[in-house]
Amino acid sequence: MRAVVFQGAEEPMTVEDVDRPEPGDDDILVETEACGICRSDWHAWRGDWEWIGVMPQPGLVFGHEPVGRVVEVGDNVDRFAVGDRVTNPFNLGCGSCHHCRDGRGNICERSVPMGFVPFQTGAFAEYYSVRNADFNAVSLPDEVDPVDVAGLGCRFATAFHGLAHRVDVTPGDWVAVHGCGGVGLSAVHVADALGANVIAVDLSAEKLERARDLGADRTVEVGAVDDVPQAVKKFTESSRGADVAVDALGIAETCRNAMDSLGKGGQHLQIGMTTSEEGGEVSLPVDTMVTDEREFYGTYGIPPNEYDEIFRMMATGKLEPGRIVSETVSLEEVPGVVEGLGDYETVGIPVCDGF
Amino acid sequence: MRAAVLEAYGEPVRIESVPEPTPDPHGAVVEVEACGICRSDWHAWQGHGEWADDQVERGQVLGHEPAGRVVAAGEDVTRLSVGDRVAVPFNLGDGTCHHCLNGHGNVCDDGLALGFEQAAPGAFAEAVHVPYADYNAVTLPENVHPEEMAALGCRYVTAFHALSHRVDLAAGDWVAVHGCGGLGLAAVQLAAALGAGVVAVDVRESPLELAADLGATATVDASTVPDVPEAVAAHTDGGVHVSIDALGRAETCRHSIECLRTRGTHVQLGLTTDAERGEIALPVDRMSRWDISFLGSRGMPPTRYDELLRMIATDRIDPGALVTRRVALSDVSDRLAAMTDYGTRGVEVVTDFGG
Repeated sequence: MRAVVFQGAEEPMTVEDVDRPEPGDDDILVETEACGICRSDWHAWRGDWEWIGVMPQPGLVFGHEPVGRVVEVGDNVDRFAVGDRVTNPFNLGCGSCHHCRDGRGNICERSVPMGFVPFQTGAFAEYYSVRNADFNAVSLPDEVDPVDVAGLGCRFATAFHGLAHRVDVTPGDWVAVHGCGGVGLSAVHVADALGANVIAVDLSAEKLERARDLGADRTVEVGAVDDVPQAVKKFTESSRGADVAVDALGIAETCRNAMDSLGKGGQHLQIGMTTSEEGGEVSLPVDTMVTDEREFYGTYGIPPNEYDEIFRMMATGKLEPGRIVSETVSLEEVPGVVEGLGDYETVGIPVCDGF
Repeated sequence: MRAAVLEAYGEPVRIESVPEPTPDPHGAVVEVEACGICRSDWHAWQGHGEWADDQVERGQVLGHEPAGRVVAAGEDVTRLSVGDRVAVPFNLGDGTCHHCLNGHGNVCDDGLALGFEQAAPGAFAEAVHVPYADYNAVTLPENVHPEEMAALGCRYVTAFHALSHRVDLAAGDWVAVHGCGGLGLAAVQLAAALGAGVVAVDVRESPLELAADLGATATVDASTVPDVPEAVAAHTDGGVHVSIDALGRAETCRHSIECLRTRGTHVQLGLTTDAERGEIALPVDRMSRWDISFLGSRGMPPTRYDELLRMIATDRIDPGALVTRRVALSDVSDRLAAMTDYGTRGVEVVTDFGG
């Protein structure tokens, strides 16, 4: 089958003929219909995240926002049949550890990140397999367009899990989203759907325009203000600060700006992972966090069991993940798009749909 | 093997010879070492529950508080081995429904109630079958003594789930417990261990003495005071934060709601008798006016027993202290009959399955 193959950090990726994955007894094989192209692919291509043990080896196939049709099911798989349309979270769980059993498979003790390890190849390929499919794979409602929901593997779903399950967003809360890439725009859309007042923050006027379309009530253009946190706070009553702030990018500046834009009792949600610049560490104002009782929450992917909440909100028109999708490309174009994510010029989520 | 079988409502429970269970592929057979006698057995024996389509059929092997050793496991069982000591929740989940996957297996869509339905014969028997054993059976560490094991049945874990997971108990809160049978006494011990001040209420002196030994700060003998809610309020500076009806009669339920302070939470644990037939008139206007919450609570998810076991390991709780009497299988009938007039005290456990 054809697949995009990683050649080493910052080396151009190539489309090659590789072996089709062999699904085990607990797995399914899926013919790919769509796969989102995510900043995490760019991070991996750059060789980031060595500090959390991610060291992609040449030969790896990326792609972790997949949608497709099941073409083979393992002997032990009960919940899926050939022909089903499925997606899955990128962070695949074992289904049997403490966290998986407790509804938190996204932080499985033996979590396998799809498309970042050789034994679970990604979906920039004609086919991909999903391990422990009964636990990890998720049936999609019939009416959805595969391209629209490609972001459910990572960015859209991560934003949803973070805002709906990690922090306490109540109606009317001010939610500041720092960074309006794919995950940030997803966060804007989800926070809006949850009844929050949304402040979108980015360098790019074009991305802020998209954020407004997706439900942002206020915007802060980073280059046009002296002090980003103050500019965010100014939109809130008595400039007291946001109730929830999301770092949807993962560089020191957005992380600090998000934390500093909070009011007392505010909650910071860290979605973005850092670059080699930060190496996983960002200095935070711990004394202010003590005296203001601010909170810092990490959030990682989504447990498979939370997808039905997204589907219910899609069915009633409250969530439309397809609105974050910006362009569709073919497998041949994937290397160029991944490499170009470093320029921050992509607006929304690019999706590969030509295999 | 010998088993106690419900042959006619209200008539003596007979010890009969029934076939030994064999494990389903997903099941395990546990040799029963201890099984508590619970008021739910008494309800079943009385034929209660037809008003909720919950009447136990004749021919049922009763008993739903088992602990023992695994003697056989089905071919699909991976987390248990022969010889493992386990406790078994009465609320058996299939491990795959929406609620199980979200950590709420106590309310599984396709769940079974051990000892209350034909598909799940109970544990007043030499051996009991545990369906979906990987999901349901809870392995007990060696530091859990046989006496504690005997007390870890439905009542103790139901009280634990209610106080630890269903209500938000804060440090220094007042908790009232109405009805000091086995369930109520478990709630008294647990609420005290979680940092609450506890007022125990009953109409009998002897369980109130036991409640005081188990950590109750104050006791109210409902048979000697003119107004129970007022008597509770007098001990608690105007009312409690959390109140539990651990019996399930109209009187205890209403007393429980009426002794709450503003914004208090009532938890219903006891199931009603044929006097109420599942319905009790509640002061809904007052509950609206004062932000009173009413929560139902059932059993405990199998996936959260580890929390309870950690508290036993650090000697913070002592379920064994609730056990007042050890009896033989042939005594079950008499001990159920004694419950009719509230003639039992503490938790009575079958530990002799040959006698």
